[in-house]
Amino acid sequence: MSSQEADAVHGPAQSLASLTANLLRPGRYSDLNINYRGKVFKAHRNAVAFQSKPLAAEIDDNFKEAKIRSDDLEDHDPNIIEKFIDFLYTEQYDDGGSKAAKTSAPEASNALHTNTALYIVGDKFDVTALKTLAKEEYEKTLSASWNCILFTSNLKLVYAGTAKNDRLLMGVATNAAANHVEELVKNSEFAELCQCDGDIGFAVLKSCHSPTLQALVKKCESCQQYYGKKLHHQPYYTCSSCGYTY
Amino acid sequence: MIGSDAGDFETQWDILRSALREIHTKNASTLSFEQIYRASYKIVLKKQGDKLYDRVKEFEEQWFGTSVMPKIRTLITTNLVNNTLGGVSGITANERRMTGEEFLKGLKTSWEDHITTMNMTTDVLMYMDRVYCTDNRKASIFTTSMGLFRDHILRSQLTGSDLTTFDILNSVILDMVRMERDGDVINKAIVRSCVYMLEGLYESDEENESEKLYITTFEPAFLNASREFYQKECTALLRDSDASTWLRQTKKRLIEEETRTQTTISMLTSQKIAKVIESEMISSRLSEFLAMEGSGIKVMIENDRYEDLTLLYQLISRVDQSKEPLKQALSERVRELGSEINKMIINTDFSNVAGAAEDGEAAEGADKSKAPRQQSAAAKQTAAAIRWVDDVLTLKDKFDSMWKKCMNEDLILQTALTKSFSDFINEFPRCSEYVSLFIDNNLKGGIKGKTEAEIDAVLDKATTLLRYIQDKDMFERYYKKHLARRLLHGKSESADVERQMISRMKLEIGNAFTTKLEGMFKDMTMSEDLTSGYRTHIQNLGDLDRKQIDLGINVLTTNYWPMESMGGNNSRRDDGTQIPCTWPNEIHLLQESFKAFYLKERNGRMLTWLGFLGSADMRCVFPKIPGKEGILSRERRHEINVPTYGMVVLLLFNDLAEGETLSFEEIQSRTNIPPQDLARILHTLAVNPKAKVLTKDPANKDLPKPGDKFGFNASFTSKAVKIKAPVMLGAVNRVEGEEERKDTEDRNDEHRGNVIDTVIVRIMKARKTLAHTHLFSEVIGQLATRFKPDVGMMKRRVESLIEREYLERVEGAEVSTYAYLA
Repeated sequence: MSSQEADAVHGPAQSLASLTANLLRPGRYSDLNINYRGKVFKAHRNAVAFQSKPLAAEIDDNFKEAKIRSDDLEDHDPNIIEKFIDFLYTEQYDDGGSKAAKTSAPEASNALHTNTALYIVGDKFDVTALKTLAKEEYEKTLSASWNCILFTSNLKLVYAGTAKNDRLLMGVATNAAANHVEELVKNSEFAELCQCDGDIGFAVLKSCHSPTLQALVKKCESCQQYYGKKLHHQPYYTCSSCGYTY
Repeated sequence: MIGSDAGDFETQWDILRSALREIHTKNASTLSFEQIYRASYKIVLKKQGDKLYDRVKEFEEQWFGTSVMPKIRTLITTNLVNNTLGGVSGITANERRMTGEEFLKGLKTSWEDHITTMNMTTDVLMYMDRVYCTDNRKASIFTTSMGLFRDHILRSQLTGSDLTTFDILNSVILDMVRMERDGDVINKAIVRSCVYMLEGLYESDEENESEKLYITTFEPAFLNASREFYQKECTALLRDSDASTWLRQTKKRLIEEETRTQTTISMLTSQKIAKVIESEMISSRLSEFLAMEGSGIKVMIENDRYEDLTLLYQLISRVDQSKEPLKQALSERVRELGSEINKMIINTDFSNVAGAAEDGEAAEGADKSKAPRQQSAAAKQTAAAIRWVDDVLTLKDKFDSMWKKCMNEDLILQTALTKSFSDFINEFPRCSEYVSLFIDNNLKGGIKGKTEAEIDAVLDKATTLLRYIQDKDMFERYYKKHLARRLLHGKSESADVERQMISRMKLEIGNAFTTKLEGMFKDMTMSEDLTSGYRTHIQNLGDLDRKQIDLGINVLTTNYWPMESMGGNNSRRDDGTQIPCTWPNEIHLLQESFKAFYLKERNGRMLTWLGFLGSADMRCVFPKIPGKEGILSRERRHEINVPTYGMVVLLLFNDLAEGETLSFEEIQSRTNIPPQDLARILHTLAVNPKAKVLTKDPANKDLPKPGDKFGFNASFTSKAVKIKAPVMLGAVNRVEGEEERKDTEDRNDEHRGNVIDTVIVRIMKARKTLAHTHLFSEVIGQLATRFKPDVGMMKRRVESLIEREYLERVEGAEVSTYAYLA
C-alpha cells in the first residue's frame, strides 16, 4: 500500500489517519475479526464502533457477535471490505483509479464501481463521512472520464444499492445522465435499463427538467466541462475539473 | 419482479420475525446481528420499509396481548380493583401494600423488559429507522413501541370494568403515598421505577415534553389526592391543635413532600406539591391560626417565641411576597403595645403628682414648702418621661431582635414596623420633648462611666427615636432649650459626646437643623477664650483701684440661643426688647471695662447683659452677735453662690444700716428686676433655709410679694462655708408644665407660620400661578422633613399673604388658584 500512497484519496484529519493506519497494518492488539469467506481482517472494536452505529450495536448488544468477537460481512466483495476497513482507520481509501489511468476505460470503470460500492457500504453501516467521500470521488471520476456504457451499468448498481430517498449519489448519477442525455438515448443498454426500470428513466427525466439543473450545472467557459458545484456559503462557482472560478 | 420482491420480503421477514421472538424471549445471544441487520437492510433497500414497519408493530401488539398483559392481569386482584373504585377493600393496609407492591413489581418488570427488548430491536432495525422512518416522517420504531406499550398495557381495559391498568397504577401509587404520609414504611424504589416509566411515556408519538404521561395523568391525580389530604389535615389541626403545632406540622409536610419528589415520585412535581401545601395548609386557614387564643401571633410576640415566629415568617413568605398578614399583625401589636406605653405615662403622670404631693404632706407636715413639692412632682414627671422613652426603646429592641432573628431582616416588614412605631410615637403629643429630655438626661450624667461602645448604643437609640418623630421643629426647639441649659450651667458630661450627637442629628435631619446648635457650641468656646483673654487684659492693666471682681463670661449670639425658653420671658417688653436691669455701680464698671475690651476687636456689636442668666460667688461676712452662745458668738464668713439677680439684690443690702429694711417695691424700683423674677430670687434668699441671708417680714413661707419687707439676716448660720443658693427654676431640665407647654406650642406655631409663609412665597415665586391643591401638596412635601403642617394653619397663612399683597386669587379660575404678586 505504501507505494500507492501518492494515489490514495485523502480525507480530512491526516495526522489521525496516519496514527490509525499504523494500528491497522499489523493487526496488533486487534479485538475484532471481520470475516469474509475464510478471509479474516483484524480490526479494533473501538475504531469500528465509533464510526458506525450498526456496528457498534452489533458489538454492544447481546448478540452472537459480541461473544465471539467476529463479524461476518458475507454480502460484500472482499476488496470493498478491505477498503471499508481502510477507511475506518485512515479516513481514506484507494479507488484504484490513479490520475493517469482515470481516462482509460477499465480503470475508470473500476473506480466508478468501487466508489459506488463504498457508498453503499457506507450507507448500510451508517458511516456518513464515507458516503460523502465516496460521492465526491464518484463525481470526480465521472467528470474525468465519461463513458456511456460504463455509466449505464453503474447507474443500475447505484439505483439498486441506494434507498429510495437517498438522493446523494443518485443525484450525481442522474445529473450526469441529464448532461449526457443526447448521447445516452442513442445507447441501447441505457434504453433497455430505462425500459426495464421506469424509476431510473423517470429520475433521469426529472433531472433533465430540473429547474435547478440550469442554475447548478453549467458548462465551464475555460475547460468546456460541466460543473455543478457551488462552494459552501460562497456566491460563486468553481469548476470541478479545472478549478476555474466564476 | 414484483413477485420475486414479495417472496424475498417474506423470506427476510421470516428471519427477522424469528429473531425478534428470540430477542423478546431473551435469547439474543444465539443470533447473528449481521444477519438480522442485513435482512432488514435488504427489505428497506427494496423499498418495502412500510411493510416491515407495520409487521414489526403487529408483532409487538401481539406480543403485548399474548405474553405481557396476561401476566399483569393476574396481579390485579379484586381488592386492587375495589380499592381503585373507592370502595372499602376489606383488607388491612399491610395486605393492601403487599398486593400493591406485587402489582408494581410486575409492571416494572414488564416495562424494563420492554425497554431492553426494544433497544435491541431498534438496533437491528437501525437501517429502517434511519432510512425509512426519517424519509417518511414516521416515528422511530422505538417511539412507536412506547406508544404501543402505553396503549396495550397501561390503557388496556380490564375485563368486566371500565378501569384500565393505568387507573390501578395511579390508585396503587396514591395509596402507597397515603400510607407513607400516615407514617408507614413503603417500598419507595418500586414506586419510583413505575414513575420513571410514566416519565418515559408520552401522550403521543411526538413525545412533547409537556405531554409525559406522568404530567398528564399521574400528576393531576396525585395533586388532587394531596389537596384533599392536606385540607383534611389542616382542618384537623385547626380543631385539635394550636398554632405552634400547625407551624411545625406544615414545615414537616413541606420537607416530606420535597423528599418524596426526590425519592419516590418525580422532581417535576416538586414545586406543584409545595404549592398545594402552601394553599391548603398555609393560605386557607392562616388568619384563623394567627388569631388562635393562647398560641396565635399575639402570644408569639408577647412571649418571644422566636422559633414559632421564624417558622411563621418562612411559611408566610412562601405564600405571600408582601407578607400582608404578618405585616398587619406586627403593626397592630406595635400600635397596641405602644398605646399602652402612652396610656401608662399619661396615667402615671397624674397619679404620681397627686401621690407625691400627698406623700410629702404626710411625711413632713404642713411646713413643707410649696416649691420643693412642685419640684419633686416635676422631677418624677421627668423621670416618667425618661421611662416613657426607655419603654419605647425596649419595645423597639424587642421587635428589632425579633426582626433580626426570625424575619430574615425583611425590608417590607421593617417598613411596616417603622411606620407603626412612628405612628404611636407621634400619637403621643409630648414625644419631641420627651426624646430631647432623654438625650439631655444621658448627656448630663447618664453616660458617666460608660464605655465608648455603650455611649454609642445610647446615641444610636436616641437617633432611632429621632427618626420616628414627625415634628422635627418641635424637637429642635426642645433640644435647643435643653442644650442651652446644659451648656450655661455646665451640666454637660462630655463636649465630645455632645458633638457626636449633633453630627448624628446632622446626618439624620440635615444641616439646617444643626447650624444653630453648632453655633451654640461655638459661642461657648469663644466665651472661654474671651474670659481668659479678659483676665490677662485686666492683669496687664493692674492699676485700677477697685474691688477685684473675677468675671467669667458667656457671650451668646442672639439667633442661636432660645432666649425665651431660658427664662428671659419676664424681662421682655411686649415688642420683644430686653428690659435692662439696673446694675450696681461696681458691676456696671466691670461691664464697661469688659465692653471696651470686647469691642476693641469686634466693632459695631451690641452687648446686652442678661441678668436672668449666670451666677455670682459672693463673700458674705456675718458679724458675731453679742450675748449669743455657740456659733452665733463668732464672726462667720460664707461664700454664697447666687444667681446674678440675687447678687444684684444682695448688693443693695451692703449700704444698709443695721436693722434697716427694704420693701419689695423699693428693691424692684432700684434693680428693675421683673417682679416675677424678683419674687423668685427673694424666695431663695429670704425663705429657703439653705441660704436665708435675708429676713422677710412677715416671716412666713409664702412667695415674696409686694408689701413684704426684707432686711439683712445677721443671725444666718450654716455648717458649710460654701453655700449654693438653691435655684427654684431654670437650671434643671424637666418636663414642662401645662402653661409652659402651651407657651412652647404657641411659639412653635408662630414659627411654623413663618416657615409656611416662606415656603409658600418661595414656591409661588417660582411658579407664578398655582392651583390651591397643588400649592398645598407642594408645601406639605417641602416641609415633610421638618414637620407636618396643619391645613387650617396653611389656609390662614395664605389669607394673610393675600392681605399683605404677596398673593392674589385668580378671578374666574375653575379651581381655586393663586397668583404671585411681584
